[in-house]
Amino acid sequence: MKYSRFIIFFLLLDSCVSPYDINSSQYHQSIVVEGMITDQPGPHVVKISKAVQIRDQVLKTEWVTGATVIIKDDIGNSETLVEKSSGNYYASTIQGMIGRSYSLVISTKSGESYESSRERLLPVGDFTDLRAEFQMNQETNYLDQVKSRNGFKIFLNSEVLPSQESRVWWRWTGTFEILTYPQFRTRPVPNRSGLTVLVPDPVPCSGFINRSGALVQASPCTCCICWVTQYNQIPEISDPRFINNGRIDNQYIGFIETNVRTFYDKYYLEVEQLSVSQAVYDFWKKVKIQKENSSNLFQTPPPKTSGNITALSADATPVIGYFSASSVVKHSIVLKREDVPYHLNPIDTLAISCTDAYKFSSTSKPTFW
Amino acid sequence: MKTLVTWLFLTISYAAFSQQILNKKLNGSEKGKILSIYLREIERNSGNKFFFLDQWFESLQFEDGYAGMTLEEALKKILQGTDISYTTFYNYAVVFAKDPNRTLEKIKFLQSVKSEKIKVESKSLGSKDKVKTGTPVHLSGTVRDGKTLDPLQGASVYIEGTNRVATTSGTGTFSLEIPAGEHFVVFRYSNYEEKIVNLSIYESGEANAELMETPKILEEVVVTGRQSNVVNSNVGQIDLKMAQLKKLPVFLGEIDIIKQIQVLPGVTSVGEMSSGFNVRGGGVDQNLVLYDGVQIFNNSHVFGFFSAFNSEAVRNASFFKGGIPAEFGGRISSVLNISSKEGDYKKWSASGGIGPISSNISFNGPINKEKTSVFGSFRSSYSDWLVKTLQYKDINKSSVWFYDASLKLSHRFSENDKLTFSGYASQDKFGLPSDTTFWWQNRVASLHYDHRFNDRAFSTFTMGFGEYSYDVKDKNKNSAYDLKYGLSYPTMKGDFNYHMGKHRINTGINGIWYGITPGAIVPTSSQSNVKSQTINKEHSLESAVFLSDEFEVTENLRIDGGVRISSFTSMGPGKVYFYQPNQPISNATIIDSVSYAGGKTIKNYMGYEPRFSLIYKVTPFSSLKIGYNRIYQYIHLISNSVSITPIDIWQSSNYYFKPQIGDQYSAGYFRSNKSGKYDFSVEGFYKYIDNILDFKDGSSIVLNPTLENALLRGVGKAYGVEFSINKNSGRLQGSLNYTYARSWRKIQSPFDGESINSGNWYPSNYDQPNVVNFTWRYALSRRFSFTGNFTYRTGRPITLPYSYANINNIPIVNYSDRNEYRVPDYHRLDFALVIEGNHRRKKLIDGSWIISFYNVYARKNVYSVFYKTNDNGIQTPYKLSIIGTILPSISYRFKI
Repeated sequence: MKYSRFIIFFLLLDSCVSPYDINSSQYHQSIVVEGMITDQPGPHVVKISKAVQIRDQVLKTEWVTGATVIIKDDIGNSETLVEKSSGNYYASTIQGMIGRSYSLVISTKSGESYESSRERLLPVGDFTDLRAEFQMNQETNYLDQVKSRNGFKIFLNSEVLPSQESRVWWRWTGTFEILTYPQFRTRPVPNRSGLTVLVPDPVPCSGFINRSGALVQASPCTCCICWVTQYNQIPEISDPRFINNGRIDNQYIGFIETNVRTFYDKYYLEVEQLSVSQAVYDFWKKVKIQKENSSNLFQTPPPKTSGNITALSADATPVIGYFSASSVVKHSIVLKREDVPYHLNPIDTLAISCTDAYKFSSTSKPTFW
Repeated sequence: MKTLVTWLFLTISYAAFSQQILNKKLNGSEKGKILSIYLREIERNSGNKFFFLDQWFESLQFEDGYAGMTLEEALKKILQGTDISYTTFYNYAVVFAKDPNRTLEKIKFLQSVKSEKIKVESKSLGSKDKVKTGTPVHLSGTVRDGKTLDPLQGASVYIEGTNRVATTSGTGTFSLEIPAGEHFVVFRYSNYEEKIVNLSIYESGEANAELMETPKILEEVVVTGRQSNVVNSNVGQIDLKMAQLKKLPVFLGEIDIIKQIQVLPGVTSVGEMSSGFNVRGGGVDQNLVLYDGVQIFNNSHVFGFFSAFNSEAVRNASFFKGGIPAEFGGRISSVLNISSKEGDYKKWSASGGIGPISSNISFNGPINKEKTSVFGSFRSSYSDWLVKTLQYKDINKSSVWFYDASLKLSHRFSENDKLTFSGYASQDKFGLPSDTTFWWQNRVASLHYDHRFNDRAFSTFTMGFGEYSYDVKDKNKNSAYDLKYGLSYPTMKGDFNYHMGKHRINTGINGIWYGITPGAIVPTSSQSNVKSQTINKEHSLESAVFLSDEFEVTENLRIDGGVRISSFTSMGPGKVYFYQPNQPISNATIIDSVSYAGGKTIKNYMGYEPRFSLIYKVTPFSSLKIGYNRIYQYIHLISNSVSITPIDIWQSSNYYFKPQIGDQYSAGYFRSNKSGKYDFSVEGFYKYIDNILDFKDGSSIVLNPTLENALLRGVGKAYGVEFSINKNSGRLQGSLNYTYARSWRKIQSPFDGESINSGNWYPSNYDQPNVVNFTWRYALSRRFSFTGNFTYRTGRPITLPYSYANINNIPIVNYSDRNEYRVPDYHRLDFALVIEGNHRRKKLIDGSWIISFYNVYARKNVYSVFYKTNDNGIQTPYKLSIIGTILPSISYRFKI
């Protein structure tokens, strides 16, 4: 018995999971719209881009420029948005008001027109007891210090107003500080005997220069300290089953990974609670299902995430995305390095500019820091 | 040259002359005449000559139905079954002979039978002196199981060398008209040893037979002269041969009924991990699986790796994929009727099997000799290693366990009365690494009372209780819960069978009372954020009356017509929500609700279900079959994954879910060669299904009190053609099936989000156009056989991601239309070597070994494409192969 078991183990070492190639003929072009108007002071932004082929796993965005973008309300006001950067259209005067309805109209340079459904701006309740609970998912070791499965689970207690129609959307923004060592960058150079050796090649913004093999600081480093912004990767929306007497207790919001970088100093977390229309709620619900289903053996066939924007002509490029009218309530908490209940090593030596280390990374210190 | 021409001319004209006589049409004047007298008349009128002795034909008289036949046809018919044959002689004479060939044939048959060591019993009825050979006499009798003494229905009684065949009725009785004389009577029943009686019959009488179940795993290797049943069998019906099943290559040593069904023409499955099977483009929930008359809702262990039925406990299984008789109803696509084994009334025995995953043991014997018997079996898995070996993290850290058990007690009050208790239970446990454990179980028990009024009438009354339930437990501190789903279904069926001349009437009533607990969730820790929720229990009653008549119109034409009238009532207590008219139905458009008190009718449906099948024997070796059936289905599997998972929901029809209505038409041609060694069939079908349900994108079905919001209603259609070639005897036996079939759905609504693929026809999840199955068994020697099968099928449809976008800094993937693409084609080859114990009849243990190789060339068949989130937060498609390599296994089976 033991013997046969061994044989089968051996044979099964072969992997059963492999990437599935989709050839480019199976690709469909689509327009992507993300727009929102809130009851907060603006600016309200509408972003328009093109979807990227799944095979191109680089996070590039192909913006749709030169479009005419208009936000209208139900009493005849409208504003044409201004494209301040490629594909990013800003409103300057229009302001969301509770009870009023808004819609978005887009005409692209190539003459294709899109319109959102009419979105009524609903009020939103407050939330309390925003808190973090540490969860140890693995034993830490030296190699796992940069990436770990341990972290804080974020919860809150939410108030759901009857006029919200049981729908709540939560999103969060996290900020942490990192320190990098761009001066330690090296580059391979062949020496006289034909072997490759690494020579210092400091990133210019580090302020260091390579003076005949020695690193010399010529000016202060302008890219060693950055603030990195993280966003929730799985949308959180309310589950009507968990609403008890207009409250949702212990609502899970997200997971903040603890490692030597995210907790180099502290972690600032801002959570927003928003009201949403049924159409936008459904959009996020589908996205959530899509996200949670992945890597799950019993995953359901994926929902198509089209949203509340439709093309006005049948032959127009398909569109996905949403335009939301929402009320917003915000609260924040700070997670301290001391709250991590195990020893964190000093930050690792990342020999690149801190702005290149993460996608959303900036050298300007946030006002709340 | 001239001589030659003259000679040729003469030959041709003589031939034409003789030919003319044989072509002479009978005009009706022959009616009532003795054959000898009639032939003498022709002699006088035509100048032709017939040579025979008058006494040979004295008992042969022309009856009705000869008028219009040619003389050749008339002679063939009237001489059939006699030992007289004829030949034309010198082109002008017809010479009759007291057939020496029949004698030769008989000797040949006897020799072949002897070489196979089949015992031939002798029996004589009446005395040869008193009756002349060829006089028609009446033979009747009963065929029974040699152990349980149960009458065997559908056994064939066949007069060797003729085309006279009778099939036993529900009481095991048969009757045949045969010419007096010496005959070999062959009694045959699938999985039973053949019995041959050398019968000298000169007056009407009885010949009964007790058949013994095939005792060994291997059937006798070479049996010639079998008449194939492909030509005679009912439309769309297949009797699974348990003995054959035991010789096929097995997956990890487990013999599996469902796996054998999956290789039949017209049947497909979506992959290894699919417990269900799809029949002629139908869904997995459209198969009625009956265990001793009571439905089984989950027919698999470990998500479909193994079927939930221990093959050691199964006596026989009939599978219907078309022409479904009126006594069955409630599921559109097929019926799998499993009868469990009954204990031996004479002696005790035990058997068992040891495999790498599970072992089983069964015992049976008399509690009270000839009166009361018991049969019990138990099978259980004993290790997790199967899942540990699978290279997928969600599976290989999980734990799995299952068992199934059955018990049957039978008591014979008299020759005509029998009471049987049958019980069956199965349970599975599957634990995920994330502290979530799934439990699911089936429990059924039934009581059957069989009563035989006389040789022509019998009835069976069944009372049963069934239950299917599952339980999901989560032990994570913040989300701990216990989720329960349950379905109970007390069942009652009474049927009455009456055999009257050429009619076999079957009538009865059937009732099922469903009690569904759609879901109850309770938090199981104080920090758990799960809110306690219970969806109210639903009650409904499905009832039916049925009547069918199998009418043997002529020897060559059989019509089976019937009707089933079904009724379904969804009852209170319950709440029905009403939605804004002309709006998509969702929680947001609820305008009102009505509560119904207990016992109040919420909604009632009636179904008129005609059934019809026709078999026309074109020749004794070929037939045409036509079938039509309409079936109403009142309980539906609501699943938003591709195959059955343990947490699927069975939902009965209610205010919003109308019954599914399936209409199926089929027609086929079946043919075998004379010896029955080969048979061939081709059959086409068209099926249309109304009121099918498909899930709405992203809908949640668990604990949803307004399930009508999550599901969309539409229509389905399927059509195809099935080819099958079998070799039934010889050292090499096998079958080759090819099916081309399509299965489509259409879900159309004026509202966005309520149509699928813009309301166009789209392929169903199990649309697999091309399917080939090849199965063989080669007897290397009497003890060793080499068996195998090859399967090919078109990859099933899937929905794929093709692009992504960052919205609100969340990467979101864009998916194709539903089922727009397909996984790569599936094909697999399996081998097995079966080694039996020695063939001595008397030995303590009869053991056999089966060494199997599953997926011989280690193809990584894609079971599904799923999506994993990569470091960029984008779901990318991966293909998952459940069995990515060759899987060898060895198992041992024994019988004491």
